[in-house]
Amino acid sequence: MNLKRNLLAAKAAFKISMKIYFRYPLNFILTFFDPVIWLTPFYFMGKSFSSSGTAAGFRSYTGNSDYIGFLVIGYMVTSYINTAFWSLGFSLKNEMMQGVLESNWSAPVNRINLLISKGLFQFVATTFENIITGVVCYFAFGFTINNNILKFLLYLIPGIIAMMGLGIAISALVLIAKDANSIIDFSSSVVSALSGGFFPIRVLPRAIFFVSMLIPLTYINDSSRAILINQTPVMPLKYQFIIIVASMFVFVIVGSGIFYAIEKKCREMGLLSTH
Amino acid sequence: MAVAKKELAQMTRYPTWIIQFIVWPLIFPLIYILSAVGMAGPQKSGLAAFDSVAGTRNYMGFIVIGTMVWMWVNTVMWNFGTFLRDEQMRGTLESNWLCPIKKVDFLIGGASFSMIVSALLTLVSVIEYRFVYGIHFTGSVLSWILSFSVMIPGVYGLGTMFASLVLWVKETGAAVQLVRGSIMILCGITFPAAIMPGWMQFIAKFMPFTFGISATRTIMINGGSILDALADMLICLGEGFIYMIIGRLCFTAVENKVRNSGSLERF
Repeated sequence: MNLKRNLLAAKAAFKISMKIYFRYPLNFILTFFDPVIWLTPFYFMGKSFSSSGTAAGFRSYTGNSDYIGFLVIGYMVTSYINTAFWSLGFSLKNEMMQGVLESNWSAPVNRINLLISKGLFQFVATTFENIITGVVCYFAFGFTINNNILKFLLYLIPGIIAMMGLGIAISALVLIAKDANSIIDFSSSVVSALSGGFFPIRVLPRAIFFVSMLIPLTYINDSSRAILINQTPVMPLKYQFIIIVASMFVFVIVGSGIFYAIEKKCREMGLLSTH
Repeated sequence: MAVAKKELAQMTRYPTWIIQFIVWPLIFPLIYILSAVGMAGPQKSGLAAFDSVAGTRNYMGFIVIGTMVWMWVNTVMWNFGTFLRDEQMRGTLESNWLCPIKKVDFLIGGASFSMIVSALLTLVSVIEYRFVYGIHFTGSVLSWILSFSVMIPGVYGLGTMFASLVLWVKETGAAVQLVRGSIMILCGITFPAAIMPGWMQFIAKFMPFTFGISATRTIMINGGSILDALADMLICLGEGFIYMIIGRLCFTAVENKVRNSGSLERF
């Protein structure tokens, strides 16, 4: 009975998210332009540091000079972390502003279920957008990958679940601070920056490199590049896989724990309806 | 005045504004700086190629000047865009619109506020880049202020156009991405514009920020005087005023459209 109620609520939340997405056509149109908008500056940066079409300096860090492949894969993986942070955290802020958070949460269903179900559609949309990104970047920048896609998914899926755990913790912070923009922008930027989405993490100073190795996204970025474009990984792939799977459990359990603790506090203090 | 005061009260109400002012300017250029370090390689072998197209080996200074301007434009875009959009979401836009004042005055109120925010953000950025990143800026403070000031008409012209777009399409995030993304690509924020193909360089000439950034780099990292940057500054100013006129026309047209179609309160 309880499961049925939760599934019904999950279906409704998924449908709300889908309807909102398709209600604003500019969002979908942007899918075609977004990769070009974000990757072009890096593409030209790479060109300005290259001689005779070869980025020799970059090759020293990554094992080959395919900086476009490096950037596009980083962009695709980063888009999942952005989705985890923005879709989970910002959906709460939107519900606060629309004045429906308190009434939605009075439904007799699991809050994290509501939160994730709304975000789930965004992950489906992000996957579709990433496929479009690949196609657009193939034509715009000559981006290509090998055929190890199944192996890549094996590393990516537990990594995304780990990021959702982190997103749940971030959305709990939004409940307290009430300002989603700054918190999400800051946290997603820090995580993306430290995980080497757009640069080889070997350029980081030793202390920051160590922090970077504590973030699961670093291993998702690194293993994806090693699998799809044959770049040199920072450590053997089997160890990276173990770390990603372990972090999936840790982040989901810790993220949910933080969320429930903060939610309970907000309910007791009557903070849910204010923003 | 009332709009500017309300915006200020709202911003300071959320303690996260400190992140926007102090932490964000430090973090934002970092991704580009670290990418540049990665592209240059461990022996800095890529710097010679960069020098040949950018005219400087100071790639950190080059990047932070671009990102400072970009953050400024970005702040104005978000302030202008979310100002109207938030009122729509809260259901207060229509009632505010009933006030017997020119509707563009709402935007001017928002603009005054974002002017203060942007000026503070730029000041904090310069201090942080000098003392945290150790970037040496050339020229006097007065010449820095002047080189940024010539971009004001362009920023607010574009902001008004943007606010009109948000009022029309009822969506802020995607619209912000499109506008700031175009600026990021065309104006040479993180790379020298000379590396772009000819057709892109041609389009970039219609953006006032291309000239504003060029003037600022001449003064702040290449050691040039105001006279050296004068041509760029005048073009930036001229194009900026054209943007302001276009922005005002767009806003009037969209305001009439949403009023006639009764779509002001929809979102």
